[in-house]
Amino acid sequence: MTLELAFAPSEDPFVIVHGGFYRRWFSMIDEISELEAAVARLEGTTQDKWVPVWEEVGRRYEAEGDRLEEAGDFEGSRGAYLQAKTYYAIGRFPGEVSDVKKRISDDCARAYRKACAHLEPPMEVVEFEHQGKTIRAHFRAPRTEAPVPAVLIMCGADVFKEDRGWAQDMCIDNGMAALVMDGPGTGENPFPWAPESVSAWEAAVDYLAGRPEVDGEHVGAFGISRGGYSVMQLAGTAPEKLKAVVANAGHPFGYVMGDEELEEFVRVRNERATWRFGAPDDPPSFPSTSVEEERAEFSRWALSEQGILENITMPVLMLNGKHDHLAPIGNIYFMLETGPVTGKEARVYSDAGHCAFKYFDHWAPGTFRWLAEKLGTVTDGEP
Amino acid sequence: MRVDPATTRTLLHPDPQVQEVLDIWAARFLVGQIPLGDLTATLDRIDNWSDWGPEWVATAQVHEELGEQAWDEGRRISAVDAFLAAARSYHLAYFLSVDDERAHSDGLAKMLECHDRVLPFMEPPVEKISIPFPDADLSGLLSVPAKGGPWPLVLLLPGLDSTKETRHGGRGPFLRRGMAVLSLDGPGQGEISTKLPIRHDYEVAVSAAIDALGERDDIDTTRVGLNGASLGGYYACRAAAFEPRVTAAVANCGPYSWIDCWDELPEVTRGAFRQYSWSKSDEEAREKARALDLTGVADKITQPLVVVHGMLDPLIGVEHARRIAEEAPNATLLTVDDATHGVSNLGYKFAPWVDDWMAERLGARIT
Repeated sequence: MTLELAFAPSEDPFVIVHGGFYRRWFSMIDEISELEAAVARLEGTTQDKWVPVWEEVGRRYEAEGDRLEEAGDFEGSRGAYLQAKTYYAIGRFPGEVSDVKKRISDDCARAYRKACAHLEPPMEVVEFEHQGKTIRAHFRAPRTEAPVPAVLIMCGADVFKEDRGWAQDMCIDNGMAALVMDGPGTGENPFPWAPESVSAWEAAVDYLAGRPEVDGEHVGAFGISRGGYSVMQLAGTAPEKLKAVVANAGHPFGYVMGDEELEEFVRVRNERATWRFGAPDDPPSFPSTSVEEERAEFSRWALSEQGILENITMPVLMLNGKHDHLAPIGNIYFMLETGPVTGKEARVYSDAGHCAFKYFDHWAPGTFRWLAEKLGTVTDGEP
Repeated sequence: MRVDPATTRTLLHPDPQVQEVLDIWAARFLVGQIPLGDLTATLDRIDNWSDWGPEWVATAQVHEELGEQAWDEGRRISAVDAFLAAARSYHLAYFLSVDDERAHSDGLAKMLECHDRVLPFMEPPVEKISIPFPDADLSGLLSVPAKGGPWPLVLLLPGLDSTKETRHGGRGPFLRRGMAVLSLDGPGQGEISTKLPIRHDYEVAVSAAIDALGERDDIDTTRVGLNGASLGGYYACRAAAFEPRVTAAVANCGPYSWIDCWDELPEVTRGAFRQYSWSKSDEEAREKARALDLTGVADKITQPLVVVHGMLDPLIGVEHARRIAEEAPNATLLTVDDATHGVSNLGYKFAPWVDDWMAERLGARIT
């Protein structure tokens, strides 16, 4: 869905704009009027005022899905369930920070499983072990005689694997298998958000490459936002495991912000840190930060600081909006001019913000065609 | 950050200068409708760079003779095709043969002669227009969609060594989307190159072209797009920055700073700039190259701008595209992996989207 909306980088949940809070879900919402109506009913963002609004919309769509399912209209029911899933996901934002949020997260997962009940080829909920912990993910592969290339779809900080089903669908459409996995510290990934948790992603690639449906020599990765960082961190950490990567809105790669830009970056983050999505007496849902803390975070997370930048020599596609207020666009410029020029592509959209969801219709299909090309599938567009 | 031209090598030749030209432009030749058979046969006859011009003249003459024969036999459609093929080969003969005066001047004259001879019979129709300009009029090739209008206008801007004739060959996608197309020979370009030298302030040429079309009923000069490749990408940026009637622009593999590219440019390219800037020496050309710089200019491009770049461009490094895209407030950046100068080898990866983008910005159609 291409929305005729204004553009303004923003984290304000009471405003619907390109580049704003609801950007994450725009491509998954059928009727913008439904979203607008729900936002108009919002009286606050703490879970007592937030969750019921989204739960009501989700329940309505889920009931519609149940009705269509009962009538044997599986295509219709899938559409309704996916809408239910998306509205539950908004209710869950930013994650399972309380029992209330956990319950609507369960609603989200249930609606998604219902949406996938009749998928062909089917979606399989899989589990694999790493360092004594169990990771649950979603696997899907085309029905083919020979093993096919595959893509690890890496989720970010506040969008879980149920919201990346479209990416898995696009993999299937391009003749590739796909494993969708929650980011560390979210959903059904028990690992903490820490640089060392890249090992969980490595384990996921190993699992994916070991599937009989998959050609383990041709595995790629795709990630958005924090997942866009993770995909590059994985590429630099385990370059031998990945043949191509797509990073949308990743940060920090190695681009060093100037003082003024860093101060603005901190200001925006602190503005976001005023919003509370948990219980009324809970602290803000995002931590505040400072220039000093961000410099320390850069030292801890930047690919350049981790010494893995030079390992990223496989084909890389980088995407973002030029006016990203959360992941500075300088990261892409930095990567274009760092290391070998071969194998790098970029799409930086002028009037778009974090993740360039305004141009989803351009970059999303193109991304998975690009992955199929780099991973060596030949597809006629049929699964 | 120069890419080794050999990275995209597809044709082999024993002469290093010919090899370098092929490495950089072989894809462009094919996209420009030079038959692969002509390319390989002509290369077989070339022992070293000094043969380049004369041998392409010989190839052009084959097409020209076929054109004459078709013309004499009343086969006008075949004659048009043959004379245009001859013009394309004459362009190859002259465009970089700046040290071979005869090949250069004769090739340019013959290209224009063959092209203009069949101008009245081209489909879709092409009109040659004269554009008033100080010291010498500029020249353009104009095509307008069939009936109706007024149509928005796209100006196709040649670069250092392309011409309005070569650029107008790519008019189809714009006409099909409901845009009029004017391919321009500005200062230092094509038939104007003998009358006016290259100017860094190319916006004067764009302004003159828009002025010249302002009275036409079939063209809407309030909706003007620019599409420039190579040095034409620089010209598009420059014109967008200073000509407010420009609605949107595309800069494909253009330099931010020509002097920053200078020392690593191939000799033939430096020679071409020397020729078309009317410089008497390499040193003078180098000094003139300094003026082609978007410092303090790119940030004035407030119109929507798409910056396209091939990551394997051996002439212009990706840092030039980045600097333009970073400084122009409304710039979108598209880089294409495995693509050479002008993205000639992989045009399909960007051109359709960019053409649609332009159509939308100018209020033309995409379906």
